[in-house]
Formats: sequence, C-alpha cells, structure tokens
Amino acid sequence: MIEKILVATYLVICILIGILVSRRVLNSRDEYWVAGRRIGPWINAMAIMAALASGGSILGVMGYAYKAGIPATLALFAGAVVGFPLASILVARPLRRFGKFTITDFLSWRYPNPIVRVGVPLLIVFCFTMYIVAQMKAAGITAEALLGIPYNTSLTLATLVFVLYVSVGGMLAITWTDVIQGTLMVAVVLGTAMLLMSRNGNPVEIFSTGIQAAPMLGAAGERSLLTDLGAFVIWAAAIPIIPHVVMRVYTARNANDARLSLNLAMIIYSIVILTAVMIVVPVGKILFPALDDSDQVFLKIMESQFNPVIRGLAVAAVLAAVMSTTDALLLACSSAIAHDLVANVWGKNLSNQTISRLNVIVVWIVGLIAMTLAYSPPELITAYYTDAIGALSAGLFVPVIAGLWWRRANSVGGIAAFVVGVAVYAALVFMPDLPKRSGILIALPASAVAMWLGGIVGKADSSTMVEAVGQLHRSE
Amino acid sequence: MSRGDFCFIVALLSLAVISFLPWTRNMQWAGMSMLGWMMALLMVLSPSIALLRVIKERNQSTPPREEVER
Repeated sequence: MIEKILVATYLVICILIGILVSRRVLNSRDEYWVAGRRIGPWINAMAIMAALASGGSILGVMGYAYKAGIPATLALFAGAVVGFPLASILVARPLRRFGKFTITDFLSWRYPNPIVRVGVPLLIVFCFTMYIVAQMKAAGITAEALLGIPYNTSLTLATLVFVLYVSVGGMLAITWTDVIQGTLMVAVVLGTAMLLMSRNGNPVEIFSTGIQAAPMLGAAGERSLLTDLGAFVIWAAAIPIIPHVVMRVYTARNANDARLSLNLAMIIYSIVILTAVMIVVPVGKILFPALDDSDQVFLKIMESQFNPVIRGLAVAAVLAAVMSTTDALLLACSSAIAHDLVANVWGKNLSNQTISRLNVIVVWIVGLIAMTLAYSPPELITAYYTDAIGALSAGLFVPVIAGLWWRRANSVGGIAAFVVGVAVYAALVFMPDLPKRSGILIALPASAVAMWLGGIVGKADSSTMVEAVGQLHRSE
Repeated sequence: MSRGDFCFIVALLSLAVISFLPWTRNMQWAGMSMLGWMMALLMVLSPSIALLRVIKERNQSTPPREEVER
C-alpha cells in the first residue's frame, strides 16, 4: 500500500506543476517550447540528464548489460556521453546564437526546401513515437512488477499523467518535473548501489564476484564488433542533433550556460550508468542468473531485497526516468508538428492561442498513439529505441554539422545528405545478414558523400547566407 | 573552432577508434574485456575534460573583479 501512496504522491506533484505553470506558458511560444530561455546551468543540466536518462537508462541499461554483457552496454552508452562534448563544441554555441525553437528551424533556414521543412519533422515524429513506445513499456512492466497493477492499466495511467502535464505546462513544466525526476533517479540508483554494497562488500568485491559467477558479463561476446561500434556511433552522432537535447540548448540563458549544462549533465549521467552496470547488475546476475525478460533484473532485485518504502521509491524513480524522457520527446513531437509543420509550412499567421491549442491536441494524439502501440511492447527496449534514433543520426547529423561548419554546404548538399542518410539507413535496417545497428556505419558516410557531392555540384549559397552562418560563430 | 577544441575532439575520437580495435575485445583485465574498460574511461574522461575546458573558458572571458570595480 505504501508503495502506491508514494507513487500516487509523485504523480500528483507532476500534474500540479503542469497546471501551475500552464497560465504562464500557454500564450507564448517562447515560454511553451523553450521555457522563456532563462534556465540556469545547474537546473538545465539536471533536466538534460533526466531527459536522456530514460526508462532505458534504468531498466534498459541493466537489462542490456544482463543479456549482452557490460562491454557492449558501455559501448552503447559511452556513445551518448561522447556525443555531449561534441554537441557542446560543435552545435551548442552557434545554435544558441541562432535562437528560434527547434532543429528544424535551423535546417529549414540553412537549406530552404520543402523536403527539409516537411521531411525533418515527419522523421522526428516517427522516430520519437518508437522511442516513446519503448519508454512506456518500462513504465508498464515496473508498475506491474512492483505494484501489482496490470501492465495495460499502469501504462494507461502513466500516459495520462505525463500527457496531461506536458500538454498544459510545456517546457517549463518539463524542466521542473525533470529536476525532481532526475534527482529521484540519481538517488534511487546510487542508494540501491550503496545498500547492495552494505550487504555484499565494496564495489571491487561485488564486481569480481559477479564476473566470476557469470564470466559473460565481462566478455565482449560473440556479437559482431560492428554492432558495438554501430551503437556507439548512433548515440555519439545523435546527441548533437537530437531534438529534445537541442531544445535544451535553446532554454539556456546563453551559449556558455548551454555548454556548461551539457557537460555537467553528462558527468551525472556517467556516474548513474557506471554505478548501475558495475554494481547493481553483477548482484542481479548472481541472484537471478536466468531471467527470461532481462529488462526485469532491477525490479527483481527491488522485489527480493528491499522493503515497501524503497520499492515505492524505485517505482517512482523508474516512472520518473520514463516520464522525464517521454515528456521531452512529446514536446519535441509537438513542436515538430505544431511549430515546424503547421505554423511554418502551412499557416504562418496563426495566433499564439491557436498554436497553444494545437500543441495540446498534438501532445494528446502522439501520446495516445504511442500508448496504443505500447500495448504490444518490443522485446528489448534499449535495442529498440537505439534503432529508431539511428534514423535520426543518419539523416540529420551531416546536414547540421556541415551546415554550421562547412562553407561549401548548400541546399542541394543538405537535402541530398538528409535523404541519402535516411534512405540508406532504412534499407540496411531490414537487411537480415547485416550485423544489428551497423547500418549507421554505412549510412553516415553515405550522407557525408552526398553532402560533399551536393556542395561541389550544386549552386553555392548566397554571400548573405555565408555571412549569416559566419555570424553564428562570432566571439562574444 | 579554437585550436584547443579541435585537439580535444581529435583526441576523443582517437581514443574511441583505439577502443574499438579488435584487440580490445579479446584482451581482458580483472575479468572484463578492454573494450569495457576503455568505454568506462571514455565515459569518465570526455565530460570531465570538456567541463574543465568550459569552466576555464568562462573564467577567461569574465574580467577580474578589481577590473570591473575600476
């Protein structure tokens, strides 16, 4: 009972935050999508960490390490960690100076063409819907395992809560709920590790015992090198362009704060991932050596080792991880449709009130579609959403980076890089003989070659555009 | 891009490339393949060094207090 009260309290707090900030944000696009651009570096860092540390990062990271071993898991998550310094150096400063709201804003300005204006938001919505489905599975199995609520019921409840507070509270509600959620996540993962250490010895002893009991945990495994490398590259290339991280660059007060918060976020994220993988998973492998659903390892530990209060906090933490990512993804989908597609492509003269209503409707539609898909969940959540993110990396990384840093980048090259990257990746995902997640290793170079050829063959950009891009790099 | 940022990115990517060379999969230390240890090292080093660089840059761009008061 106490677990349910703790979780209910947490959900009510999230809804209240959404309702409290709704008056302030619903009549301003700046407030709704980028929280008025005045979030400080510490708050922004916690929000970025929470947005990235999804249900995948609590349940999925442990499930993946349990099944595929620690090296493969670290290869996947190290990609994201390396991606943040790249984002901090390559995109944070120029994109913060560019202003606006979304990654599509930049690409549509840099490569003014309907393929980019329509194709990019559609790709974002498609990939993020798959990402949201994976998060929802994490919410469902957690509530089912630890609270005894049936999967479909808990899935529906969690969806209604985060759709409600995102739809009315926008980025400001997300920021404050993410700070609470991030704190809860860090506390539960580190707290669990400390409790396990108090019972099983220091981290070195736990790690050694776990590896001896299950040598596969430390082995690189029979998987292809290309699978590990592909997962690493997908995340390293995704972070500088992934919309819910880029929107956080826009919420910062200035470019320096954006860079500071990106790197702070990654230090906290690394600590959480390394603790989960090096301490919690070895204990899980010793206690439960043959789980059918490896994503359940953390929940099994909670169920067998801890009292109802800690279990309640664990459920709240996993829900927090799920919701903090899903809310950011939902807002990114909302901005992709309401701002990028409807306002920018089809109706430039819509009032703020109309756009606000549209945001609310879009968040509800995307949330409900993802919920419906999550009733039949994917098998391994981390692998599932990594595949979806790969499509974004393949299509957007080269156009964004070249658009900012290559003087010869032009519309022909940008469009070609986008189309070729997505098409090659999509074709390779369905090739059965190719090692999983290795498609990105072909799609990304193909996208770069398309950009290069477009830059050479196509008409050079106007001097005004070259000058405007140069302004994004000027010293403050 | 500053020279420091460029060198940092090159070093980061070089470490990543070395980490994925085939020998890191077979060689083990303390029961885990070197791929795992190299990835853990990357996860610690990359954000830490990047953070130090950002802080240093902020300090350099902020004038000393005496200068502001004058």
